[in-house]
Amino acid sequence: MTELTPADERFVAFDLDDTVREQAELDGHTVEQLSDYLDRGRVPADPRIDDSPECEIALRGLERLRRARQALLARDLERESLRADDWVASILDNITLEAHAGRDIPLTHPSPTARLVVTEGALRGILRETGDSMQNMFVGRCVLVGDVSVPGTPILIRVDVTVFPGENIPLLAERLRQAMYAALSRYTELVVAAIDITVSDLHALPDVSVREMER
Amino acid sequence: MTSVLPSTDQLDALVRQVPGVESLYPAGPLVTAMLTAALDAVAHRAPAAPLVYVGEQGDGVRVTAKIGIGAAESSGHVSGRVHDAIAAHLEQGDYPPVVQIVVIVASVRLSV
Repeated sequence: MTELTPADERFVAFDLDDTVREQAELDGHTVEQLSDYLDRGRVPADPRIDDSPECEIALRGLERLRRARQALLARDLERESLRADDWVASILDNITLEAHAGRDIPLTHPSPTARLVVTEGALRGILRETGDSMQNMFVGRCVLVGDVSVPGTPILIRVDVTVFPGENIPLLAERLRQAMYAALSRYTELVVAAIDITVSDLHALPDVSVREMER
Repeated sequence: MTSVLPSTDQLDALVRQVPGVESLYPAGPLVTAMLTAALDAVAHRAPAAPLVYVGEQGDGVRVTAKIGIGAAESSGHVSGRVHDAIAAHLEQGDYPPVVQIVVIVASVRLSV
């Protein structure tokens, strides 16, 4: 049975190993090249990108990030976010880094000839999309801790998120946690011991008085 | 044992028809896939390489399919159906015995 991490438990901070950052290219494509491909409307079609599930996962993440930035702009928060735009750069790095296929996560089947797996990259894509689809939140990083390749081994999910104004953070974190548990149980057979969520970026509404003074 | 391996074109079409499968990706060795894709890109043509990979293993055959699925069904259900479809197809033909059928869910599209 899956054990939930209580909503009031202190969030656990964590850091990814930066040494893998240099592996951030996907099938030979950098995040800049993938972004350019989106700018061109994916024309002319590039089979090296279109035939790569890792590129596809990264492209979907880039599209969601662009929509989030457009939403920020629409809410007049862009100026504020530009002051600390490293959150976007960090997410860009992680989108490509986490889209790599990674480890194989087994799925059961009664046939002895069957070897069914879902890739770690696909699963991170699911978790990222689950978070990005929630209002006022964007997933920055998502890490699966533990041996996902051995069925039945309890694993830990660590997620960090950027939160935009208008949300009760503990409630938002709990909604995210429940949505991720649901996605994990639907698409994998993993035993998830806990999902730890860290709010690593919190964007506040710009101070109106400051903005008026700047005019 | 017969040396005739199953047609990858037929397997490609078969897997694409399995409900829940939205994409089919090249499952062969990386070097082959990248070389073929590079040549296709230079020629501005659709990918020509087979997507489902069929290889000999011992006295039998090993088939690998790499798929993308939609949100409607679980990865276990869809990948299981892909396995079953390939297994049924191979049973019907005069092919070497199946050693393994590998189905990799490489992408899940939650939104449209």
